[in-house]
Order: sequence, then C-alpha cells, then structure tokens
Amino acid sequence: MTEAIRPDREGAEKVLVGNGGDAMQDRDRADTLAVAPDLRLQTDPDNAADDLVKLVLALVETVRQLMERQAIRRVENGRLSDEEIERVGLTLMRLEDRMAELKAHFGLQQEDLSLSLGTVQDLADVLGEEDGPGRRDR
Amino acid sequence: MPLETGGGQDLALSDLLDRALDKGVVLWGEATVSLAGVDLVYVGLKVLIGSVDAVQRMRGAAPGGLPAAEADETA
Amino acid sequence: MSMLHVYAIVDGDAIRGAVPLGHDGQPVAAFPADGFAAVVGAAKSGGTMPTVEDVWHHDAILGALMAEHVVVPLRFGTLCDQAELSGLLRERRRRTWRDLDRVRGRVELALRLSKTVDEKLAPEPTRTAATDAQTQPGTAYLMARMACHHQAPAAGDTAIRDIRDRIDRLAVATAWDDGAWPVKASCLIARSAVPGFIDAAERLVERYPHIGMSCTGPWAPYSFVGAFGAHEGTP
Repeated sequence: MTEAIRPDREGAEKVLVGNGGDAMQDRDRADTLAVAPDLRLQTDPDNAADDLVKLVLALVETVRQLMERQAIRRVENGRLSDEEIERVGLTLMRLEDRMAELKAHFGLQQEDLSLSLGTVQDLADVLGEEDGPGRRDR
Repeated sequence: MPLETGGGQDLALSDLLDRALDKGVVLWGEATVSLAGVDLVYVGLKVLIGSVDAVQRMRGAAPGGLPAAEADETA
Repeated sequence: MSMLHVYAIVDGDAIRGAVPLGHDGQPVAAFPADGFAAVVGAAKSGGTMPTVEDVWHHDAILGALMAEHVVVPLRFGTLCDQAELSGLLRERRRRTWRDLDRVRGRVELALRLSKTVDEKLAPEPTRTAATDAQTQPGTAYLMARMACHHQAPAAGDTAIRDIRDRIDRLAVATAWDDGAWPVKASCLIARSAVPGFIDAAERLVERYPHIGMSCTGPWAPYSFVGAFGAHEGTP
C-alpha cells in the first residue's frame, strides 16, 4: 500500500506553463532562497581555457552579486555605520570596475556570466545566533 | 560553452518552497564540469535551512507544537 | 512522549489510496478526530539537517493523499506531541472544517510574472560621473545600487493589470504578491478548471511576450488554509 518515492527529476512535471521567465529574480528577496540549476558544462580541449575563464568570472560575478545584496540588506536594516557603508560601497565599486576590466579583456558580456546562483541569506541570521555586532536581523 | 540548466526544476522548487516552508532558506547547488566528455568535477550541495523553530524541532532540540491558527473569529 | 510529524488533515477517518512512506521510513497513519483525520508519522530522529528531497517528499505525500481525499496541507516539518494532538484537533475543529470546505475539489496553481531577458531587471553595475564626484562615492554607489534593486512592478502597468484581471476571473480565489519582481500569485482552482486555466495562461503568454510567465502545479492548497498556520496573504 505504501512505497517510497524518489522522483528523478523532481519538479519538472510540475511546470505547466513556462516561457523563460527568470525564477532567479527571486534573489532580490532577501528572505527567500538560494537555488542553483544543475549545471553541466561541456567543454573540449580547444575551448577548455576559454570556458574555464568564463566559469571563473561567472563565479566571481555571482559572489559580487551576493555581497551586494547582503550589503544592501544590512544598510536597509540599519546595521551598518556610515563609515561601514562608505567602505563597503567603495569596495563594491572597485569590484565592479575590476569586473568591467576583466569582461572587456576577455570579450565577455554581462549575460555570459549569469550562472543563476541565487541569494544566500546569512546563515547566522537564519539560525538566530546570539546578538552580536551586525548579526541579528529579525 | 553550452550550459544546460534544469530551469523547470528551479521554478517548481521555488514555488514549492514558498508554500511548504515558513520563511525557510535553501542552499542548493549542483555542478558537473566535464572536459571532452569526461565528467571531472562534481559539486553537490543540497541543504535545507528552515526557520529556526522548524529546524530545532526537527532535530529534537525543542518541543514542538502545531503553529497557531490564524487569529480569527467566531470558531 | 513521542513527537509526530504531521503532514496534513484529510476528510474521513482512514487513509485511502497508496501513499508514500513517511520521513521515518514507515507508513503514514491516520489520527482521527471529528469526521476528519490528521495524517501523521513518527518524527525522523537523528538530528540530521532536512534536505530539499525531504521537502519534495512531503509534497509527494500530499499529492498522493489528494488523489483520494480533500487535503488541508500543513507546512513541511510541522511537529506535534502525540499527547497534545487530539486536544489541538478538537480545539480547531471548526476552522478545520472551514478549510476542508474551502479546498474541496480544488488545487493550487502557482503563477510567476517576470521581465524577460530583453527587459531584464538585472541591476547592471551603474557608475556615473555623479556618483564618482560625491564626497562619499562609496555611499552614493551603494544607494544607487539599492535603487536599482527596488524597482517594483509599476502599479499602472497595463499588461500586469490585464493579466491580473483575467487570472482573477479564472480562479476561485487568488492571492497576489506584487511588491517586487517576480510578481507571484497563488490561485485556487477547481480541478476541472485546470486545463482551461493553462490554456488561458498560454494565451496570455502570447499576448504579452515581454512578460515572462510561468505556472506550476498542481499543488496542495497550502495558501488557502488557516486552521494550522496561516500562510502570508491567505485570502
């Protein structure tokens, strides 16, 4: 009467209509989730180096976006001092410059770097760690 | 570099988590890097991080209780 | 006393149909109350972190129950002390009956509206001469990025309004969450109306190609019950 179910591609059959809208826009919601697709990167000897560069830059860009979202969240929650805001802002600004240089150098556009890794809420916030400087959110 | 992604699964998972979790957060990532058809590197991460209460209860760390009914009325 | 994992409330006092094993690897059981029953299993012991698969598993159990029952779904990870369960079910009897009536013969569909790639909201880095010239360029930059992230869907967007109107007419009830992109909706639909809803959604996709629309489901009606934990925005 009862049986264990382990669907192989969980969820694929639940999609009724999908026209390419980006589920990853959810990453703007700090209280939601991080979801990454199952990436399969096929590369061959001729393109390996280029593909790996793209992967590395995509990862850097993803981390940049995560940091930016975290920073914004903290600013909104009033958990950064003015001085910290300025420092974090400058750092992110320089990071953006650096990424622009690297993209130009390798001839990549912003779209080439989208890995669709989402937002990770600060683990400490979720688990409700002890109040410490800039730790607690809710 | 062709990137095949399980986009449909993301959509369904996002919608599922919105509903089945109470402010939960999930870290979920999988990547397989192949070189010339040979799978070389696999990175897998499937961890669910729920709300503090839910996680603590599920780990037996705290007594549970059904969540409060919506504040209402005449019932 | 033992902790129970509570999956759902169903009509009747016994479980009908084939249902997957619970999280503890054992068959789920019915804990009858007053004309309805809680579907329970022993809570999984061992303190391992729950996983994504566990959430899918929870949903699979609900899906199987929905084949034969009216189902009031509970959140994943809802636990209750066995000694307290019957008292709680008695206490919430009337609200539970209301929930059962609300969702009888109905399923939930999830809708998402997003901007497609061409009009992507991707907040591209934006340095301007203005931000650079400020005495506090870092702060100005961060503020500019914040503004980028917070572009909510325009209230006056005729496409969105039209989509909302059509969807509202098709569903028994709809809960909209449109404070930011993606716009999300939970729709309570009669089972028999699902194919028509999908057709209508596909027509909307054709009519508004600049808006990405996805629809997933059918889900258990998580968003339309309240006896055991209201979902935000339960209509």
